[in-house]
Amino acid sequence: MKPARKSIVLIGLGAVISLAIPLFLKNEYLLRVATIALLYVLLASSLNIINGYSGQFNIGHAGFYCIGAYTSAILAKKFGLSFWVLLPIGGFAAATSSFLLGIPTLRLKGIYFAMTTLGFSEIVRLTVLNWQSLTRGPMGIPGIPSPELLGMQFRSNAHFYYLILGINALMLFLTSRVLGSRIGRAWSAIREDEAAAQAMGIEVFRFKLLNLAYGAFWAGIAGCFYASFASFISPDSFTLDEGFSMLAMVLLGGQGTLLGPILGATFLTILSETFRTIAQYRLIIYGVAILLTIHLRPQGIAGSVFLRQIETARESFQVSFTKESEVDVSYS
Amino acid sequence: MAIGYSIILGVVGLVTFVHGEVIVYGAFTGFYTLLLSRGNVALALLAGFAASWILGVVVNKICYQPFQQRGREVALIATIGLSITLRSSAQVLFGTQQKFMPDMFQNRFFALGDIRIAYTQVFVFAVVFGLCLLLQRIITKTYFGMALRAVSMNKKAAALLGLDVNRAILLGNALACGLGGISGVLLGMYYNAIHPLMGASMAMKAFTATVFGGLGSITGAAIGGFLLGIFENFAVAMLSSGYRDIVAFLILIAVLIAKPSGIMGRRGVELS
Amino acid sequence: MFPILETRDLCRHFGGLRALENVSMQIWEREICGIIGPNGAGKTTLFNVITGFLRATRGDVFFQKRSITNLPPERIARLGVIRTFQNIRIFKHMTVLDNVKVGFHTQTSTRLWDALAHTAVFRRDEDKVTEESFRILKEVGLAQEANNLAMNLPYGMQRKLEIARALAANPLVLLLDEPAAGMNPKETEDLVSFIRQLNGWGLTIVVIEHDMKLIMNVCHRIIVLNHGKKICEGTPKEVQKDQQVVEAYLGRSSDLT
Repeated sequence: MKPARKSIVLIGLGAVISLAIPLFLKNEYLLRVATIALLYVLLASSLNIINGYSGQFNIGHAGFYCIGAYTSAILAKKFGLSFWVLLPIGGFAAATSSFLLGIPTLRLKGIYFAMTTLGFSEIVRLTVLNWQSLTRGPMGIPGIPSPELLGMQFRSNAHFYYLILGINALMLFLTSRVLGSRIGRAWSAIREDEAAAQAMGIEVFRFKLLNLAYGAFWAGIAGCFYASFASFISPDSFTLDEGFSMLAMVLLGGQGTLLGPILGATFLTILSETFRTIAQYRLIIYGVAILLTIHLRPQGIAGSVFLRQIETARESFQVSFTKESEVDVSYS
Repeated sequence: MAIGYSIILGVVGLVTFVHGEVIVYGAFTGFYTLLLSRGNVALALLAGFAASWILGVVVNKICYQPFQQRGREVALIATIGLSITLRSSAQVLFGTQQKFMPDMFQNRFFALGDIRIAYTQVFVFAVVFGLCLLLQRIITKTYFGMALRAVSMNKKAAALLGLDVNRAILLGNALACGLGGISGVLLGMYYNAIHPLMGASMAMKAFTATVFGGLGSITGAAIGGFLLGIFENFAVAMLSSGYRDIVAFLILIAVLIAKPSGIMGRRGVELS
Repeated sequence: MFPILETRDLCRHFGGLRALENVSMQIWEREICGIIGPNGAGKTTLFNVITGFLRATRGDVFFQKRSITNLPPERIARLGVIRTFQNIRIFKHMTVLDNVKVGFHTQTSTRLWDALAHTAVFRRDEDKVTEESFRILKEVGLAQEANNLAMNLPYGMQRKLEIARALAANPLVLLLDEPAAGMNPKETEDLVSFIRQLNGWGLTIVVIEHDMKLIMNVCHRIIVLNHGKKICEGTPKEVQKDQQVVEAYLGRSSDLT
């Protein structure tokens, strides 16, 4: 039972450190960075549920994030709904949209599915940008109310920090439960080998859809949190690059592990904040992080799971090209 | 532009995200050459081609070659990474401002009834048309073109026949990027302006046009690009200009779902 | 008595290639039936069509008198027709234990809510799955490896794991596609006794194999395919004497000897 004890120690240590941060981090700016880092932990983790566990290749995660944020912002402004009601609504809105995307497209494989997620993400953003009567388009939605709990208004960065920390803890707790069940095993089986999963009686399409919706749900929650944390949202926050940044975090940290996206998101957020004065450098960091990871350590910092080699599952042949273009054909 | 994309898709069998940046770098190289050479267009096109060609070789080294055994998703991720890096670097290198391309025809135009046609437009069209013809000849008539087609159809078989697949991929990719560079310069001339971020949406459109027309088919890519333009303008006319880009993405998704091989697609483009 | 698994005039064409042509066969309950034939005879295609991975061009597949033709693979698996693959297809980056646990998918009913709240359904499922998985792992001799990643197992053990996973899926008919491929003689011998043991528990087994010793040793009955057609059927002895079979394996040149 050694690994179990090790992970308990790790979880305990992580909990203590993250709970204590606001106590000695008195600088408001740094606390804000810490909160943003945790927001990205949530986003990267939810993306990882999709990319890392069921092996769907989603590169347009920002779309779900956007839907969660705008749903909750619009409902808050129009109907004055409380944050706590909006939180699940934002999540379910994103999950519902994932059905719209997934039902027609989940049968596509690999990069073709990836391209549709990318198209989806852009369609969401452009719709938000153009549907001015509802979303105010490029002007964005200002003055989104902050949450209230037992008569206390969330104002300071510390409040938001603890809020997102709590959401993360809940997400990790619930997700680890799902992963430890037949559902999580079915997801992993699909990632490893779709045909073999089918041969074991797994309804591949249904479980892919469930997986996509579950990941999208947490992205929607993240969007809802972001809306009330920033109190202003505009389509600029949900570009493709935003989705790519999440992808970079997941890759760097390690796909298919719960720990990976946490490390990746924290590391990259902090690193990019240090260069925040020059926006262009920020993105370079993400680009370079992606390139370095897949070249040097494809399994990521925490990863034990190698990037899935889809070709092996799809083709019965594997050909490797060697230097003198000698061909080495082997059955796989 | 879509044609360049089509070659990459067909030959390398990969989706690339870097193409937009290749276009941008080509355009800026052309722009500076134009400034330095006081308006020598031929030189600018050549420089744009050369710069993008070199970039194509780099792309191949960083994104494709190391990952041949590891599936197309990995290469796709690599191109995303490189694309972000190059795009951000472009903003650092070329500044974030829009640059105005000098017009070699001094905005002259001739009138055809009520329609005014700028000389630049004619020139751009002529160059594109010429390139298409040239490309078609290269692909169908030369040994290099045959190697490209062979590799795009079946890498394994091509390798068994003694073709240097790596070299074909390298050259095909470089050629495609070179064309992207030229189209960058041409686009700059056409719109009179270039911007470091203009690549992203163009690459998406090129991709859509390619998928639309049929992966790996040059004629298909040209038709796809043409149709996409028409659809977009319809959407602008009927809805509003903001919806222009949505159309491209809707078409992309619709085609991928309904007929993944595209309108001119050959059979057996690997999808299953 | 009726056959547990039956094909009637089953055809599968790939363009002009007739991978299967009017194959009719019956598999009887509790038998071990071998399917042999030269490379490209259509053996694996037959498995693929039966298990729903390929659509039949024509003809029908019946399982327990019920047509399962062209049902999706997961439905067919749920009914109890379970297969293994010619090229090992275990879940490489999952533990040995989890590989087997996946096999219990159709026998459990945990829904998202059950997993989130750890309801009674979840606990009952997990207890059962864990216990039974260990039982199966013990039977195939992989219990010590339970927490290792499947990819780290040696080849022979990976084959065993794939069979273990198939057993977990509660098969009524087990289709084994070249289970002895790449095994050394000792491993093959173990496999033979293992297949017999499974059969002894009442399992119907269909096995594709090139290892003639294994086939002749273990099978009650053999079906021979060549060029997509069934050319012979019978006991190992009958098949060995059949002229057509000899020709199929040795080619027409057999009359030179």
